[in-house]
Amino acid sequence: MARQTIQPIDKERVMRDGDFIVSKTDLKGRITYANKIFKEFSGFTENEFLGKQHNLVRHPDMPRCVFKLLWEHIQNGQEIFAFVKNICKDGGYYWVWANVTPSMDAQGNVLGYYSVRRKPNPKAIPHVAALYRQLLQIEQTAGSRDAIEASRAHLLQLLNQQGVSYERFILDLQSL
Amino acid sequence: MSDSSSTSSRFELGHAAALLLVAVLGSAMAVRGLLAHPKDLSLWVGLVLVLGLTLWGWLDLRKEQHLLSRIDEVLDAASKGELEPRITQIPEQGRLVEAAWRLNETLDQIEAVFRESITVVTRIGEGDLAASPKPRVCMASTRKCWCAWLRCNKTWPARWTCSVRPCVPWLREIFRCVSPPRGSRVSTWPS
Repeated sequence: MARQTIQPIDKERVMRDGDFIVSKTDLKGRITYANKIFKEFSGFTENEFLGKQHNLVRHPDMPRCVFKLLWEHIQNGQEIFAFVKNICKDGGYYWVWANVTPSMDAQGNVLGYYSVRRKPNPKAIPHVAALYRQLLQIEQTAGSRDAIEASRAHLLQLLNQQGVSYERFILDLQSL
Repeated sequence: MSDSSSTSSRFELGHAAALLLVAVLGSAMAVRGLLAHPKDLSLWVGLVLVLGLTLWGWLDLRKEQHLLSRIDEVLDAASKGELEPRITQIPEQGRLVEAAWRLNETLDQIEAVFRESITVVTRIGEGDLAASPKPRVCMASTRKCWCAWLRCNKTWPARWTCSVRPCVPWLREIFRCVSPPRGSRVSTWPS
């Protein structure tokens, strides 16, 4: 059941147009709620994911810097968009277009996080997959300690070259 | 206690009372028969069956009532504008299982719309008009509208037909530009 024991296999599940995966986590990233479509795509039962870290569905092809960026945004109370490759219980995978927003109380304190995942633009996936492969390779070369900083620096350099922010870059990809 | 919770409690009490009545009547009949014929095996089997079925019914009822109470609580919170709570630990089977999932899905949709609307409004307020779906289309229809207006050399009543009518698509475009499209707003963001 643990993430480490899942062997990735080359079996893709494609989200349908109206699919809408929703999950909520507490401040530490533990899942407090996930909807039926999340169950369907991940293959986990409710008892298997409730209380577990959201990285339960993290695919090993995902570079760590993307999640670092995601956490930085949401911990500062900002929303973030990202393309994410998730792993299923059987080792398969599915791509999502994720939007994560913090849940706040009336005083503006962050109580948890709310994530909506929709079908990503299929035209964007080859570009994103290539970028993530590149970032992952940089992380593997840099070693565990410097992995995130190295891939993050590369990502920022790419964005600077294109003269766009991370968000604009991601939104543009989804609109290809 | 909210109205919905008290309704649920009344419902629960009614079911429990009915179950208890069936158990008491069934056991009483079996015990009465056993007093007259203590060695009758079928009466013993009947008594065990009545008690077993009562216990099973009681446990099943408790499970259903627990789910019903959760549905009540979540609906109660939603009716007060609190869209965060959801029903979790939904059993695999039962009469209320589908209703519980559907309630969650409904709240998911409503919450997503609220969150996305807040994002769009905030960004527009900050001067980020990237939420406009197709600004070039808007510009084209604006030009069309103004050209029609300038070329129209008629009196005011006739002006309505020759110049205002071409502006109707422009007004529609403007409306579309300032309001995010339904469903996935991000899919139509930058053009």
